[in-house]
Amino acid sequence: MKSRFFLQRLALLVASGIVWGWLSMAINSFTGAFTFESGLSHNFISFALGGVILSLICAGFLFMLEGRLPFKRTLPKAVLVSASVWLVLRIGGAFLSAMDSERFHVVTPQTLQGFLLAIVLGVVLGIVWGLTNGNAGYGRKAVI
Amino acid sequence: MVTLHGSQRGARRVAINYISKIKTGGFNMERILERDFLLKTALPALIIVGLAFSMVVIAYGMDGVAKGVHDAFHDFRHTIGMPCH
Repeated sequence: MKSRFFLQRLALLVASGIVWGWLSMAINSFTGAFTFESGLSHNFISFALGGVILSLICAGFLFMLEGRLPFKRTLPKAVLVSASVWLVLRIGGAFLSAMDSERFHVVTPQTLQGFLLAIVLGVVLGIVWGLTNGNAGYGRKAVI
Repeated sequence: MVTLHGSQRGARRVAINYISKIKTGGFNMERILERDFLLKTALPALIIVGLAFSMVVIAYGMDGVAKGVHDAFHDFRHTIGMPCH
């Protein structure tokens, strides 16, 4: 029962990562914060892969920190975790930019878009997490 | 062969329980290397660390670690707001 639940949640997380990756592609095309340099087929794969990895990392941190975060509902917890993961990566990027400003350029519209996308990932993750909690078989109800 | 009666059997059972608790409880290598521990705790933790490392490589385009990762995830990196050239 538990392994079935784990696999079900893992499959949903992978699917949500792929969806988020493609959604971020669509949002970037809409906002025009960055003009794509690669082809659509290449980006479909790279955004899906990147989305899956980021989604699984956020899910892992959410699993570890679920009981320690200052919210009762899953959705704000997931948003906090994904925004924090993005922020940590962005702070690392800021350090790299400070060390080698010619190699790493900071572009504010892209940064704002990235933060928005991290929140969107948190929302997607929170919904998936809350829905799978309802099917966990531990007598827990889905609290999104 | 000594036959145990009444309270003697009770005392034997208590002693066996106590010894088995000493053997299985606490922090020992046998418990750490149990299959369940490896599958449920160590393996997921290692996977998350591996994924986090790969995300850092992707986010900063570290060609030194994985050749070609910079070009492969260039658009993704810009889209999620990471600094790049």
